[in-house]
Amino acid sequence: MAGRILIHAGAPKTATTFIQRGLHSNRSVLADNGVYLPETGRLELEPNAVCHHHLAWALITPERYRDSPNGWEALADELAGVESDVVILSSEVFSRVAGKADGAALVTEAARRLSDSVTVVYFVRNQLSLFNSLYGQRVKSLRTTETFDDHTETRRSRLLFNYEALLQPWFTDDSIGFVAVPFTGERDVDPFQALLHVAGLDLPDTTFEHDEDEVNASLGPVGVEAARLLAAYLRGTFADFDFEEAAAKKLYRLASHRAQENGWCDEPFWGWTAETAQPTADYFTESNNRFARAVWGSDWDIPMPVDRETSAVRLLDLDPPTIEKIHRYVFSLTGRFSNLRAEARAT
Amino acid sequence: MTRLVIHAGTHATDARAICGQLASWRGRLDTLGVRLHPDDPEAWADDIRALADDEAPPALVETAHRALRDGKTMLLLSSEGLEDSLREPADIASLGAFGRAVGMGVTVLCVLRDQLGYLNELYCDRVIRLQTAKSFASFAAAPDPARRFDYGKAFDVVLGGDELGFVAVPYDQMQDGTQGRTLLEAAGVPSTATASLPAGSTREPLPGPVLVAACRLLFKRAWRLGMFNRLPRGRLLDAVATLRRRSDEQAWDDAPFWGWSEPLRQVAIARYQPGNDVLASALWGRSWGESWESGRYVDLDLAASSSALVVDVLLTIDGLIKDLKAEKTEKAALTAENAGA
Repeated sequence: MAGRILIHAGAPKTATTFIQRGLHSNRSVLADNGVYLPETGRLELEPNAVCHHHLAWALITPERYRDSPNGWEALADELAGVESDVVILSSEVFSRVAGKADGAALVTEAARRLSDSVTVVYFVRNQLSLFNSLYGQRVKSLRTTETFDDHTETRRSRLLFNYEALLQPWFTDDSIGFVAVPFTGERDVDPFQALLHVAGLDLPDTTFEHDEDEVNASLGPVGVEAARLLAAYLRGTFADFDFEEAAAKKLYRLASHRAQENGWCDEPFWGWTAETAQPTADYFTESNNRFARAVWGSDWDIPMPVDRETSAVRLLDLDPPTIEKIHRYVFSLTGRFSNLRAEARAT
Repeated sequence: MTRLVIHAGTHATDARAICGQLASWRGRLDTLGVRLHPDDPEAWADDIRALADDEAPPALVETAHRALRDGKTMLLLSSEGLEDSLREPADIASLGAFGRAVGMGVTVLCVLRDQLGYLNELYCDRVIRLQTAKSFASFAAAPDPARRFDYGKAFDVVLGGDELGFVAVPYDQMQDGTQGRTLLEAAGVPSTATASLPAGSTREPLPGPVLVAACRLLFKRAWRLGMFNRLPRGRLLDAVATLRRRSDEQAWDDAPFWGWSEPLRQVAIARYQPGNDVLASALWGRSWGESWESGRYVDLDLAASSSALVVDVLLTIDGLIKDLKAEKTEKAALTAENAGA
C-alpha cells in the first residue's frame, strides 16, 4: 500500500492551475522531500501541470476519455513500486465527482483501496467570487453565451456552491482526513504552499519556482463580451459546434492569447451588482456558517465582496475602436476555427 | 373671423401621420371651413418654420389672405419643427406678428405625450437615423435638448405671454389613423363634423430591439472606419434601410423597442411627474395622474440572442460595411485623381 494519499479536490477557480503547475515545476524538490506525483491519470493537454483529471473522470464518465477507464488500477500498479511519504493527486474535477449522488464516496473508496491514510484538501472560496470566476472561465472556454445574471441565477442552487452539502460526505467521514483551506484570492496566502503544508511540507518560499501563467489569465469585462460574441457566432456558423471538440479547445487557447494581446485581460471582470450580490450572499449565509463551524469550529469569516463595484460592460456600449477590434477577433477566429477543424478531421 | 391654428408637434406624437390625414381630407376640410397650406405635407415644415423666423413665404401670406376672403373659420398649419420655437420669445413674437399682419388671432396646438413614450420614440428615431449609438439608459438620463422634457417649464413662454393662444391634447386620447380628428376637435371643429372624416395615415411602427442594436453596431463600425466624414449621410442611411429590410425579411423582432426597465421607469416618473402635474393643472385643471406609457422591456444582449440571429446581424452589417468601404476607397481615389489633374 502507498503511504499517505492527499487528494487536492478543488474547488475550481481556487488557483488550481497555479498549484498544478507549481507541482510540475517543483517536482524534483518535492521528490527530494518525499512527495510523489503519479504519472497515471494526468491530463495530456496540460503537460506542464500535474492534474489528474482522468482519475476523476474514471469515477463518473470513464467511457468519455481514452485514458480514464481503469485509471485507478493503473495507479495502484504505479504506486506499487513507489516508496514515498505522501502521494498527491490533484484535480478540481474531483469536486464535480463529489457533486453527484454518492460521488464523494466514490473518491474516498477508490483512494482507500490504495492507502489507509487518505486526506482530502479543499480550497474554499466565497461564492460570489467563485461564481464570478467560473462564469469568466466558462465564457473564455466558449461554453456559454449567457449573461452573467442569467448564468448565476440558474446555477445558484448547484451543489458546488453549497459547501456544507457538497463536502459533508468527506468532513463527516472518520475514515479519512479532511482539510478545508480558506481561499481569499489574495496572494498573502500562497495556495501552493498551503497545500504542501497539509502534506506536511513546510519549506521556505524561496525553495519553489513558479512559471508565468499566461494561458489562464482571466478575461476582463471587454474580453468577456468578445468571447461571448465569438461563442455565439461560432454556434450560429457551425451548427454542430461543440466546445469540447479538439478544434474548439485549440481555438480557446488562441482566443485567450488574442484577448491578452488586445489588453482584454488587464482589468478584472466583476459581474455582480449591488442588487444581485447581497441577496446571493444572504442565500449562502446559513449553510456557510454550519459548514465553517463543522470544519473550523467557528462561523464563516471569509469576506463576501458584496460592495465591490461591477465592472461588467455591454457590448454595444463599448467605444467604436473596441467594437471594431471585437469584430475582427470574432471573424478571424471563426475562420481559424474552420481551419483547425479541417486539420483535426484530416488527421 | 378666421383663426390661424398652428399644430406644433410635439415631437414623437404622430405629426407625420396627422399631416398625412389632414392632406387627405383637404377637400372635406375646406367645406368645413378649414383651409390648409396649399402644398403637400413635405413642403409644410420649411414654410411654417419660416414664420417663426419672421420670413413669411409669399405663398403662405397669399393662402392666409385667400382664407380670409373665402370666409374660412380656420387656417390650419402643421409642423412639429415649431416645438422648440414655443420656448423662444422671439419666435413667438414672429408668429404673433404674422397673425396680426394677416388679420388672424393665433392659436398653437400641441399634442402632449408623457416623457416615457416620447423619449423611447425619440431614441429609436435617432438611432435609426444614425444620430446616436448611445445606450437608451444614457440617452434617457440626459436627453437633448433637456428643456423639451421638463413640462413644468417647457411651455412657460407660450403660456405666460399674450401673443398666442395655447391648446394641448393628451397623446393618449388619440386613436391611430384618426389623430387628425382629435386635433381638429381640440381646435374647435365640432365632432359632428369630424366624424365624417375617414381614417387615414397611421403612425410608423417603432423598430424592434434587434434592429436598434444592429443600427448601433453599424454606427460604431462606420464611425471607426471614418465613414461619417467621407461618405454622404444619405449613403449611410441607405445602409440602415437595407438593415431594416433584412430585419423585416428575417423577422428579427417580434415587438417594438421599449427601453424603460422598471427601475429606470420609476426614476423617470419621479423626475417628470411634478412638472407634468404643474402643466396638466394649468392646461386641464387636473393632475397628470397615471398617464404613463408602458411596454415590454427587452434588455437585448446580442451575444445571448439566438446564434442564427447573431450571425445574420453580424454578417449583414459586415456586408454593408464592405460596400461602404469600397465606396469610400473609390471616392478617395477619385479625389486624389482630381487633385492630381
